[in-house]
Amino acid sequence: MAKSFCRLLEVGDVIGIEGELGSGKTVFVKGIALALGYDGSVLSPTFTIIRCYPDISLCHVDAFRLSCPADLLSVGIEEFLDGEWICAIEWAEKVSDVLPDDFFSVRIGFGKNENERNIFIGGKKLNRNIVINS
Amino acid sequence: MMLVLGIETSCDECSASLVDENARVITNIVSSQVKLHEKYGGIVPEIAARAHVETVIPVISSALCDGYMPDLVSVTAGPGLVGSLLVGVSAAKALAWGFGIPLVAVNHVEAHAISPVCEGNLPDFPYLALVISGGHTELLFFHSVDEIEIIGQTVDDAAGEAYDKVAKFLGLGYPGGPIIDKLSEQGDSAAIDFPRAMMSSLDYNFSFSGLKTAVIRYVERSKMEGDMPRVEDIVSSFQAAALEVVVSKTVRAALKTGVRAVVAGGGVACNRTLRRMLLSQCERNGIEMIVSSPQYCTDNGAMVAALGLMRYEKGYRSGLDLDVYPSLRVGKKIE
Repeated sequence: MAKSFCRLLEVGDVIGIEGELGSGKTVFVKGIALALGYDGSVLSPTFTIIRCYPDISLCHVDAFRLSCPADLLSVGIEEFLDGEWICAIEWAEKVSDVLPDDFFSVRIGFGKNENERNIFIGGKKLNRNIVINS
Repeated sequence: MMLVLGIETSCDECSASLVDENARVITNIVSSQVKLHEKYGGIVPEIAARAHVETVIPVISSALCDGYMPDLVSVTAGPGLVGSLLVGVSAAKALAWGFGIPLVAVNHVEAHAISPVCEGNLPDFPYLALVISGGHTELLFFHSVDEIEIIGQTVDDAAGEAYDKVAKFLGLGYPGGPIIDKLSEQGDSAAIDFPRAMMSSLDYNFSFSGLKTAVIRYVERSKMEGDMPRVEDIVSSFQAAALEVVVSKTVRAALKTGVRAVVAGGGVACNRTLRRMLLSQCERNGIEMIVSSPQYCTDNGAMVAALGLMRYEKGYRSGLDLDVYPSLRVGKKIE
């Protein structure tokens, strides 16, 4: 799923990911990393806020602990919003004010069954919204 | 007598400690910010860094009893929050320059893994170390004090992070570890059969993200069905699922590598259930189990001073151009 989404991505893109605790945000980023050719482990960035994967120009951010958009600037996000990285930001709704206007929005919701998720993808760069049930 | 000052500011504790040439602790001052972060249910980096700026000088002064003159200063250069690390490293560099003494930078996770030395309890090398906290879950093989191999680690969340997130979801407060450990004592650990993630995998890696999801889904389903189990039973079952894997893999790794001793460090090593389980499983397999007193399990300057001293004796020095390394890996040389 993240793999097919990856074909739309270019360096410099920002992906904002929303979804409740345990919905699979980090798993989605893991999928992106895998699709970009990374085979190591993608650890939760909750503790360090930012984890970078320079080999694939991926920057993984978790805004879970942040209280306001300005906090994101204080952890050094600007360095990664300079167009040289793909930034995947979990809990993006907390920091959307400091994200570029054209960021991709990914919303993950629980489905009916244990392992089912509803994924909504939108953003100015897409000419249509995508809704997937997987 | 040689005096070593250790400074630790990688996360939300600001700590400075003075140890002697045998790594015995003379002073160990810790200023915790738990109260500041409590209402956010986790650490807020900017608040942490600002608080460190205010507390680092008084904490260092207290550690030096306003008069001791250290012969060596050691500091955590990573991993951790960039703003927090910068405060400690800047203070350490200023002191090294001002006092004209050598500076040694150390890795925070490696410092946890040698923490028993502060109480004179470090086993002979080689040994296995389990570092388990809010930010880390790693099994390390210590060939020597500067030759360290990662045997296993979490592939997603740290163990303590799962505790914090489950506690936050259940509205129990922050930090989650001590709260869940305490509540668990009144619960039935067999009430709910949560998944033991990666229990049967042949490697020594861990996964806690799926367990967290399983707890959340279980609670939501129970709520919907109007049949909510006691919160004590939920957390007790969660804790059993998390710790059984940790203990089982640690003991397996110890047997596989043939070490005679296992050291546990990091905030989650304060967990009474984990200590009890590790101790009994290690004992059963003829392995010595060493875990520090709680004040040396959580973040502290003493372990940083002790590791700095051990590295200094091996010839390690850091320059005044020392940088911080937020995602520093174990075993990696600090430039």
